[in-house]
Amino acid sequence: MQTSYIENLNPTAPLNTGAIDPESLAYLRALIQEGLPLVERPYLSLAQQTGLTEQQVLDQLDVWQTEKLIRRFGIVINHHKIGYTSNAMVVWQIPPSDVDKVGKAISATGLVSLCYQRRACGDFWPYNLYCMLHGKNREEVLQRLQQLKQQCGLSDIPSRILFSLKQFKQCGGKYTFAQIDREKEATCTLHS
Amino acid sequence: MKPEIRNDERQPALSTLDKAVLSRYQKNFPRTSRPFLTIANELGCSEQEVLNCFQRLKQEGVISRVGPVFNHKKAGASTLAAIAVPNEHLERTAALINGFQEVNHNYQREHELNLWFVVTASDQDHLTTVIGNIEAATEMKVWCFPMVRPYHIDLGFRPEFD
Repeated sequence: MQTSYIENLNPTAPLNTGAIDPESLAYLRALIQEGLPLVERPYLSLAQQTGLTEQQVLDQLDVWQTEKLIRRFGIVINHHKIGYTSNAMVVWQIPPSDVDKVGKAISATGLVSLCYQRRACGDFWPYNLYCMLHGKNREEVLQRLQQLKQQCGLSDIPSRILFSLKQFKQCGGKYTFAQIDREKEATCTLHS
Repeated sequence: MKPEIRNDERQPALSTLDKAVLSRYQKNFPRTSRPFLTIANELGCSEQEVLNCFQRLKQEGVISRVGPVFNHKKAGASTLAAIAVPNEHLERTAALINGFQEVNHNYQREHELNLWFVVTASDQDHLTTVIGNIEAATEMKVWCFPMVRPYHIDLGFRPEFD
């Protein structure tokens, strides 16, 4: 049971920095994905839960950031709660030879919050470039899309706009799982 | 015009301190023994004021969490996925999908493919297993659109506060 944290780690993302017990490290990584406790000394609280020292926790976060395992470290905002109630995913069908160029051009406009190349699925879903637009209402999102098409010369490119209607779930990605979570997952599947 | 539907439309009023905190600490949240004191010193107020501000914004749902945003490619395997769900089954299917610990976003979108979610797992095998389990649970085809290359990734949000 206790070794389950270790088994589920991604071997391509090395965790062991030498002195720290890998099991504590894996537990720290699982815990911190839920966010820092909002107390005076959050890193001490994490240290106490994982059997590390406060300094070890801080050092480890630096290691993960240096390794680029952590992309950013800070507040994750819920856009809707600050008035950005409209968002749309826009998907584009770009010729494969142009996708890098267009992806970089879209990113450079500053109009999108995300821009990814994704695998297309044949005729059913030929779209290979995705970006995300936010706005305070639907019109603002559509205006930004118009602007984006003009700036990047995308008016004739096949695309779809998928406004989001309802948010069923949004939380941080979780990459390490304790055995107990796997059991929970199995239960979910059985009950359905 | 289609309505903007949200789980909770209420938007709390934000103070000057709230806006300063939200603008400045989406990245580089202090990694010091007393981070809220560090912020207090940077913003010229008390540690308790900053801590109260974070706790209230968290409680109001403005802050989802404070901490690391992991790099998906490095941290494990993940994919964007979508299902075409008949409207009458939407709530039930969404709830089934939310039941999976590996699902971290789940949105209804305006399209025939109307339920979109992100699945993250410790490795590719685990990811494949979870997708299979979701298909079994929902009895529907799950379309997977894994990332090939990021051009622009979320480095925090620059809100234009009114």
